[in-house]
Amino acid sequence: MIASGFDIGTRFVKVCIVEGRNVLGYSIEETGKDMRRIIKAAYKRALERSGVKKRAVERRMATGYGSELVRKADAVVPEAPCLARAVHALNPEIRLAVDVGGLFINVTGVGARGFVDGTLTNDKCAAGSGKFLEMVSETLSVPFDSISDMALRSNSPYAINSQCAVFAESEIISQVNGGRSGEDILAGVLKSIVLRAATLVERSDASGMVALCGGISKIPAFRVLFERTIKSDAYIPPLDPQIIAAYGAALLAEGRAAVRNKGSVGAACPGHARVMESR
Amino acid sequence: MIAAGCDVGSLTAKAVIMDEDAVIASKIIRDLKTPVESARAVMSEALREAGLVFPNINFCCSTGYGRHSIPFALMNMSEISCHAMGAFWADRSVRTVIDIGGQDCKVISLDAGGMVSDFIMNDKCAAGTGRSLEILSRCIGVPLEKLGAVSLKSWRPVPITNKCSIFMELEVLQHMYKGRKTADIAAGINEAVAKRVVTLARTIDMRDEVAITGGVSKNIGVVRNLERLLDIRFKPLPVDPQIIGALGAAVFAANELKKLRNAEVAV
Repeated sequence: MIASGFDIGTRFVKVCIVEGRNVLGYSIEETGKDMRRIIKAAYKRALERSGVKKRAVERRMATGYGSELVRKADAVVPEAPCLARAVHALNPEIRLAVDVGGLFINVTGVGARGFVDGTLTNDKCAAGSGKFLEMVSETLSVPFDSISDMALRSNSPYAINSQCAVFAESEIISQVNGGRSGEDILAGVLKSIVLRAATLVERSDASGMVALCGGISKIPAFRVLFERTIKSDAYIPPLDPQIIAAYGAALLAEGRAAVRNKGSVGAACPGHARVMESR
Repeated sequence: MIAAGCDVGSLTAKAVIMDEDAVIASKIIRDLKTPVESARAVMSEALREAGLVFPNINFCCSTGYGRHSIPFALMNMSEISCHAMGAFWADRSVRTVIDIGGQDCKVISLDAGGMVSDFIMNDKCAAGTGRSLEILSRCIGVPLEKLGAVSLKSWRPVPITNKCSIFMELEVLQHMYKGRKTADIAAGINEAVAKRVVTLARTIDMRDEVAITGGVSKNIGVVRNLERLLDIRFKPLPVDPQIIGALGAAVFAANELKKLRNAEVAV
């Protein structure tokens, strides 16, 4: 069965199309004013990349902050079951999924059968969220792809005093104007996001391998810092880490028991190879 | 004898000039690059209004976050003491001061002599300060000064449940996507910010009369929400509530002058 998953985040719209457990194609679009049009465009692109007709998609499921905006969705689910399902399908050994996105950090416990086993999120306060990084890289006019290299070059990361993201913004701007190097500031910002995520991981007191996903985990320096902070290796999904929740939504839509097929998707996923080429 | 008070805040700088027990000039300006520049600029404008020059000032007290670096101030006092003293000087019956500034919010309780007996302050989180109003008003395209007036037209304020300014911003955007009226969103914003202040105020013993000071006290929407949620009436002050901090500093300076004069007489 062909199914699609929509993850409408605070910064990006992700659409993933699957057949069985294989990813046929996906797309990522930045959010903007006219959300419905953006969601439509993202869906169209994902269909094109999958080489699938719209009619062929039998079920659709939506998740994420703006999931209500997906009119065609058969159902709306929270992020946690999507993450749990996706991560379990990718590697059944994983017991914790950490999703670091634009504004929210979701930590989801994954049970042995791929169901949710407790969740933690930073939904009270935006301190130490991806928003920091976005604003700083904009101020420094550093493109997303260069953030990692720059941060890794710093040997004295700047420690941000403010706890509130709003106050941190003004603090960082005055540091930039005061001539502090972009490398040190970016490294400091990454560190604050890592600390926030690591605190949530610690609070979850889960044992075993942690999967790292979400847009921010695409930054190699972030992974390095995160692994150093939690003092263990993190599992990096073989898919684009940004589409994990969308992939999970598609799997839930597809509705097949995650435990049926024990093989890992990353190992035997023809769709995955195709996706990589099409990007 | 001329006493002056200078309050350099996070967004604006305020100056008050007093001759004996009367306010003769006051001024508010937007902050310049450094606290020292802002202090100098606002004080010279206030002096011009009073028809005086810098050497005429006998004693100056500074307050606000930039208070330690003001070169012409002979002493400095904390914002807490100055807001308490300023509000008490303006009205002797005031026992509680709620001050909502650009980057912080404080609730101060005073004794019968205008001295601080207890206070609680939030300067860690932008929610419940002028800063969150600024962000949210920009979000709906209403100038900050008009946010209060616009919100009064609303009959059905939108609910805003988040506690963090950044999450509030998202919520406001969602209401805009849904096509809610600007007035309703503005009213929701004022209520949400007021609620953060109420949470802070509930942790302290509030006694009548209560005065509200700081820049946000000019937003009628926030003020009415506070009155409703706390079930109180604010005592209207006879001076601009935004200059209360600077006024308190000037009163401290004037008291210092009196002390010095008495000491001279004694000698």
